[in-house]
Amino acid sequence: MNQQEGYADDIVKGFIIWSMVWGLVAVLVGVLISFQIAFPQLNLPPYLTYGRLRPIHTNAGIFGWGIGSFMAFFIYITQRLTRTPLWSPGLARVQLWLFNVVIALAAVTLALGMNRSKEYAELEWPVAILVVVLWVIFSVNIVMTIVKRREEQMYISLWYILATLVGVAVLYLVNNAAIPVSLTKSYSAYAGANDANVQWWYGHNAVAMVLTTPPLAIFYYFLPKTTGVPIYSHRMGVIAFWSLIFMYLWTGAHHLLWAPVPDWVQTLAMGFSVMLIAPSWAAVFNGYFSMNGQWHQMRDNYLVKFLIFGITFYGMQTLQGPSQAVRTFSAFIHFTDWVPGHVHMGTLGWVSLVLFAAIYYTVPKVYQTEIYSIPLANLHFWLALTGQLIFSISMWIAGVQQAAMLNATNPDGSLHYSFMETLIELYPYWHMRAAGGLIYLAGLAFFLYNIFKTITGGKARAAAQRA
Amino acid sequence: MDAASVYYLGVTVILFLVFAAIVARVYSGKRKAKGEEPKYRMMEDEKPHEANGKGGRDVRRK
Amino acid sequence: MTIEKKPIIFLLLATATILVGTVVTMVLPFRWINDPKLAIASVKPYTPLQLEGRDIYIREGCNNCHTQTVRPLLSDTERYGEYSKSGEFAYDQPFLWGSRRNGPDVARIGGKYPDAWHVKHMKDPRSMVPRSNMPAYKFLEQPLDTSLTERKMKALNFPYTQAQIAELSGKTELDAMVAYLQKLGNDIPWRKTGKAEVLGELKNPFQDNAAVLPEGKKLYLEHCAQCHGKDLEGEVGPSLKDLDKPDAVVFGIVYSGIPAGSMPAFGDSLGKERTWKVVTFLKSEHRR
Repeated sequence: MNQQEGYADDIVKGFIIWSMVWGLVAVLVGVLISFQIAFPQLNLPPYLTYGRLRPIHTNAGIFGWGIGSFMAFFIYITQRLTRTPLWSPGLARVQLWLFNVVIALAAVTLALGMNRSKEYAELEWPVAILVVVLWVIFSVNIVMTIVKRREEQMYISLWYILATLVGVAVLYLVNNAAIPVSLTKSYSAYAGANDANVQWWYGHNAVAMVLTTPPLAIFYYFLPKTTGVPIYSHRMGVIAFWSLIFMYLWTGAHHLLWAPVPDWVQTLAMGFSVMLIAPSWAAVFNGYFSMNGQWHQMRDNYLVKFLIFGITFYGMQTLQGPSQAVRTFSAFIHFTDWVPGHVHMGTLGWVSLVLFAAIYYTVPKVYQTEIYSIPLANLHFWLALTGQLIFSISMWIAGVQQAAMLNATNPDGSLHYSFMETLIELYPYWHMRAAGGLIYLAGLAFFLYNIFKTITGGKARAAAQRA
Repeated sequence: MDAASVYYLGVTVILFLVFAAIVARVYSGKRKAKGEEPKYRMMEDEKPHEANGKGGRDVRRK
Repeated sequence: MTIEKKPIIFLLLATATILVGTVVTMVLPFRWINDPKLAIASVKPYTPLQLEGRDIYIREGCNNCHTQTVRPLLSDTERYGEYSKSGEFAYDQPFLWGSRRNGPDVARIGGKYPDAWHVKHMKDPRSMVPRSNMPAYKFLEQPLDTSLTERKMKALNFPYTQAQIAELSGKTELDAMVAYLQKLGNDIPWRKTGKAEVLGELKNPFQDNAAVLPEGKKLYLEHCAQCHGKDLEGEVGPSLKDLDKPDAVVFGIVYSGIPAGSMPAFGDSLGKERTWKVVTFLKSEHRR
């Protein structure tokens, strides 16, 4: 089976396919809850309410689609950069099974209301323990492959991969510490403001170690691969790497500006958030400078379009993020729709565009065939871009408008608008956002169809060759 | 300046020196070829090296 | 030796790099946050009923739309009340500060509305708050599962009596939820101490000004009718048909509320001018 190259690629296929399944779930649930916010009658209690579905949306997106495809590409990339087959393909197969069990369990338990309430760490302790087992299996396999490698130096992608493995482990273990009451109920081991500080140290560094370092590893690998030109500067990548993983961990409390945690923790978070612009943009420049003399590929090579728009959104994201981490601006837009607008530029724009490119590149390789349709992939690109921009821009406007209304005062110093008066003005934006989500979903449908046809075509070709 | 400010300033200076040291090391002239080598080598990774290579060794150099 | 070639040393170094910020901003603050000096003596642990309510709040994911921190900012304190203190959350495992206000902050919701308001609102939010986008939680009228209550109280080291446990029988999940909401933010006496005085002479600027009556009526229907009825006939709150009180007194009640009678204060959301318009409308109905 397609192991002629000597790399264990069947397991890569499995992770790619399943991550796409969970990605579809994440977007479907996302579209549903975007309609629920605009049309509350669409809440069907007890299982299908916004409150229970939103964690399913985030978990399916971050862990199902995100981690699932990162596992695929970490395995794919690591083997190639080390010029070594995967240390244990058997362990990786166990990992794929366990991954799907965990994500399915997560969806079911969250729908049933078994929820720790801490964002992106909602899973109750038995499921959380399975996540830890899953991560250990994965890490051992990747680290052992790197240790046994037959290539002297580690390319920058491997640096990000290793940092991801240890970063996620530290974050997850600390923030999931719990006092179990029963199999389905536990309480956080920390209390109050302390719990908040631990949670947002975790929450923001989940952004670092799940939504930044893995897509960067993938970007640094697939951009040179698709353009055929090496990355601009490996050494700049190295400097940016150490700066990034050092600074990110200080910034969690920018989610807690003006909250009752110590001021100095907030101030440090603010300062380091602004400093993070530098390493983030080093990656952006590394991508752009790699395109020197290659910009025509934006037109000629559909994969480059995904990757360069992806890194551009990363650049936008890492300017907008630090601006939000400044106390004065946070006071204005925190808790409003601005923030979901920001987050979705990162997830739909940056992370997903890079993952789409990686999947379009990898699937034909591992199935030894050609992509089914480049025009369909281009259509997917434009639908994804349009849907995401409608989502983010409508939410930014909604956030600024609501913030301005919440802050409006009368001449006597009293507030001009009640909360509800600001909320009812958001409905048109929520309709727009839902429409943006539908467009993104349509793009995703073309993507899934394209990949499906590519895989079946590849299998047919392999069968024909065998016959 | 109070003690806290001195402390903050000290930490900032130390961090900057660490950063400068990393930059100086990574960008030192004699490391240039070596530091940029992986980006060229990663372009050709279609097949694994022969199994007789050992961990951490660059089999191409041998 | 170069770390580019030593993955294990590289891993250790990366871990150390990650741990610096972790220790400074996450581990060290354990010493400062929840400091005994920041403790507030009047803040009490949850009772069994309140804790069960809190667990339902968590189960239903209410924290996805409602925050529980009032920031020391005018737009927060004027709207929701006294800003949150770290000592108020000493018994919150987990914390429920949230990150997004699809609905209003509820850190100070306790005592703002009567129980009956919450019951009506949870069952059918739009009957109380027109155009609200909150899901209806009528299904919370199911019996409360108390099988884990004692284990929960023990796990959290909260004091309780057998009488409190016995009282849970026959309660619904909705009862528990309301009990929890009524505790929120109420452990410090901010309503009494933080009450804004209405300064200056209380004279109705719209006295006998029929031109403001349509707006007054509109405001009444938006803010008051849910409890006092569309025709002032009364429901959760008393009938207002025979409101025989001076304008200044009615203004004071609407603007500042009656904490003992669970009448919410509307000064924050209406401001003075619109409060006077509501008062003018109410008085005009009385004269009719």
